[in-house]
Amino acid sequence: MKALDRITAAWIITVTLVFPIAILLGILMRLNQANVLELSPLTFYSFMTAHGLLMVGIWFVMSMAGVSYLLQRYVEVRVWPITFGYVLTLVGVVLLLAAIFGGGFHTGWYFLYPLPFYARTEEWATMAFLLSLGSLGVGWFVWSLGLLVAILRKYPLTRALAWHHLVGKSEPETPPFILISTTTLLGLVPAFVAAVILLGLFFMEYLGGVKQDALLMKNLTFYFGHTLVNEMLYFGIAALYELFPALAGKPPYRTKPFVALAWNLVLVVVWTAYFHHLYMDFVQPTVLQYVGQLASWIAPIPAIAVTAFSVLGTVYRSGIKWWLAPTFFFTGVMFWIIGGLGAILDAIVANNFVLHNTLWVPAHFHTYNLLGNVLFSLGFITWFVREQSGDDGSRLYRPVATLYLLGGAGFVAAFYIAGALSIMRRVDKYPELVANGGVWALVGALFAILVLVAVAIYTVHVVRRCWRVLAAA
Amino acid sequence: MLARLSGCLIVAPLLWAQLNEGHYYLRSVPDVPVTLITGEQRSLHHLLQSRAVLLTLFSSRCQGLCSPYLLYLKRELASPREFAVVALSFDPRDRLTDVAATAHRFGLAKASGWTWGLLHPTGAMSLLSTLGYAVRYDSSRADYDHSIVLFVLDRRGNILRRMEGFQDPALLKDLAREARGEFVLSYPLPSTDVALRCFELDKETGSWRLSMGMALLLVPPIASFALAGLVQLALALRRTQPPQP
Amino acid sequence: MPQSTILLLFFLGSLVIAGVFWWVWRTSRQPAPGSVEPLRRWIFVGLLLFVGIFTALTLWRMPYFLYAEELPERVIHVVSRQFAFALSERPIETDAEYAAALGQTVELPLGKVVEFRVTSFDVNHGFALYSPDGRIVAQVQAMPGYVNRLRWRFDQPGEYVAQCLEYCGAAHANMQARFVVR
Repeated sequence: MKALDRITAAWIITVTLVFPIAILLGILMRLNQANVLELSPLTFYSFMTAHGLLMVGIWFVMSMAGVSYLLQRYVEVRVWPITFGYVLTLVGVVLLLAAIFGGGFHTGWYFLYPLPFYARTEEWATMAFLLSLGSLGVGWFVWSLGLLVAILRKYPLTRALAWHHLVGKSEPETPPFILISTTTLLGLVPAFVAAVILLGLFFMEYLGGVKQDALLMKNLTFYFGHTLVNEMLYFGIAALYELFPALAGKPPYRTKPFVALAWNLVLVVVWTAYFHHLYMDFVQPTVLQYVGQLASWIAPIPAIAVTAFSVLGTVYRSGIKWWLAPTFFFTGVMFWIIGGLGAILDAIVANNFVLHNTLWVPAHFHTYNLLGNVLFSLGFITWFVREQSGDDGSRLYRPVATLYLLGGAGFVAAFYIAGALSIMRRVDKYPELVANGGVWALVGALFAILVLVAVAIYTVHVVRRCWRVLAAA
Repeated sequence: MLARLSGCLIVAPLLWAQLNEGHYYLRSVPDVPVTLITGEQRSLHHLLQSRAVLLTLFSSRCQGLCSPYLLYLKRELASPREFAVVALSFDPRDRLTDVAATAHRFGLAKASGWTWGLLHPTGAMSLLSTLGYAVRYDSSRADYDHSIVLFVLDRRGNILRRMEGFQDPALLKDLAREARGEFVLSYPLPSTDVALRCFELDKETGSWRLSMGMALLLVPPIASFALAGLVQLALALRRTQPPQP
Repeated sequence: MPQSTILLLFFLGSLVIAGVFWWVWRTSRQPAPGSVEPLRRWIFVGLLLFVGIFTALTLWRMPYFLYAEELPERVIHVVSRQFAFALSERPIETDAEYAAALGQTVELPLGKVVEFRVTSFDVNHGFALYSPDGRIVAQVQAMPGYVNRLRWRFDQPGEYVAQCLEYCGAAHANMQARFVVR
């Protein structure tokens, strides 16, 4: 379908152009922490806010664009919700950049209540920021609702969730791609609803002066933030399930009972995993802390186990031809597991007591974003470019894969070590207390520059070819 | 009544602001003799043996703060569970009959969990100085100027907390939990006025319970299931409609 | 678990994971019939054991109630506000009390349980205790409208730093308080 090709190409161009810019913001932050640069605190925290939101934003939409494209193999996909999502995303990003760089909004992606009311920011900037989130939220909600309707039109809910597979039936088969997409789309709804409540309460105070309960606001913030980021990873997995076996020359994956069980479990458990963001808030009812630790372990492990086993089984003695797309998927799964290990270690309350808000946190989420979810999306993009242009980017294979993976691994290793050394996250300059923070920041920055070079080369390759898809209209 | 109460609210902190909780924390109170209104002779530590105690001091002849304060305690701590309220008269002019009359006047002479008694003059001096309880006889009024303080004593006779004046009932309940020996990991501050509270104070038990704010967190998952059901239903209804000619 | 143990566990685990992936990647270059399907059951049993053992080992070691049974030797009231902590032995309820407490020096006993009652007058802050050798030993969040109680026993004498660990605005990095344990 030509329209779907074009909107997908538009997403890819937008995302791959913003990606190196957002990486650059991150490198500038690390260089500032290493005292190579001297940014003002406001500039640093504006960069931090922009870096976080842009990264989550672009890779959320890219993973969803990938799923939207691949969904046409099974059901009739309407393009207008995707286009609607695209337009509102652009509006949201423009408002966001205006709030951050024009109005000095610098409260971090999570704008933890009541910080926006205390931060020295232009008054309109807070409003622009909240409206920006509103625009992104509406756009993405309509888009995901469009996909959900498209699936349910062909697969009734219980079939889309593969409940008949749970009881051992194998016919009619629910493809894993449909199962994972459905659980992820349904899993996202609470994130949107939590965001609506959160924004509503923010506006109540912003416009009506009604104070809010800080505990409630923090719960809502991570309900929406954590769930969104967690689910976007699962969109990436859906693309992997769909594309990887064919790339390895194997028959498609099938939905077995434990696969159905794992993803149905994920659907529900993922909603309570965010409690681990509030471990150090002793006021949170203690029972939720126990639930948080259990859920943080149960949510990723079945998905990781099922996926890793499938991927390893596919590659084992397969004679697969390695090029960018399968390499991205394969290494993405590896780093997803490594990041998951870092995550579950931190999700133990007793460990979080000494790791919370240290660099261990960005360490693990960069592992399964930069080296996990992003690689799944890059795998899809590379595959898409080959579908459209016939070019599999074999000239780029060695330099891009080597620079990206080596740079990425070194970059996150610097974070892990610094985190274990009690070096805190989200500071523009390291206090004397953790004087060696600067060294690890420099190490991280140097490795991140390798990633930036790889991404720059890759972006040129992708944007030129996707532009032809757009121009063909 | 209200005017007097509000007067106390202003006066009490001003008068006794110099008292520093840190200086009294874990200080042990002397084991002074006490005569109960039942006529029994007890020692203060004996009263603490079975359970923790919220201790307040008063004078039967007091024209000022004592009556409203005892009323306030009666209202907030009518029937304490797992801890006791001990009200002792420090006034050397008081006789046991005066103390009993005061207890009857407030309807608390036989209330469960309440103990009324009279301190002996020497014991009173030693207890007052340990507690940092300021008492000054004003001969022009023939009355005492004195603190209004509630002390939380553990079973070993240590001062755990002190609360001055007429505070928000929530703080009083917090003291009560302390007296029960609970380690309360966290407690909400009562004064903030917010739209949807996560915790609400249960006046009966003195503990905070989850409230609307936390219940709101159930909305997102319910919404997810509801949305899936609705979309499913809408699609099913459209499918059953006859095709347009 | 101390930070060094966590890091070691993490690096060992990562090596094992990377090793498995590297080995499988190597086998892919010599195509041959064969399936890892028989391994599936064992991997799942192993994973279940891993999750079960780790959960059993860690779930009861919640830091919240470590010293719930003991009476703290000292109670320190902590109020956080952009961008300083006020520590005091007396409750801090007003702006004046906060200002008065800012300059106070606090000394805490070695080897005895102390309790911090931590709250905030403005935004969320973090209250992390760094030992004299610069490691986090304990932490709690400071949330406006709530008082969180952190009980801890200091086993190492010296100067400790309380560092804000929740991003609270432009000067967040410098939000600290110092106290001595002896």
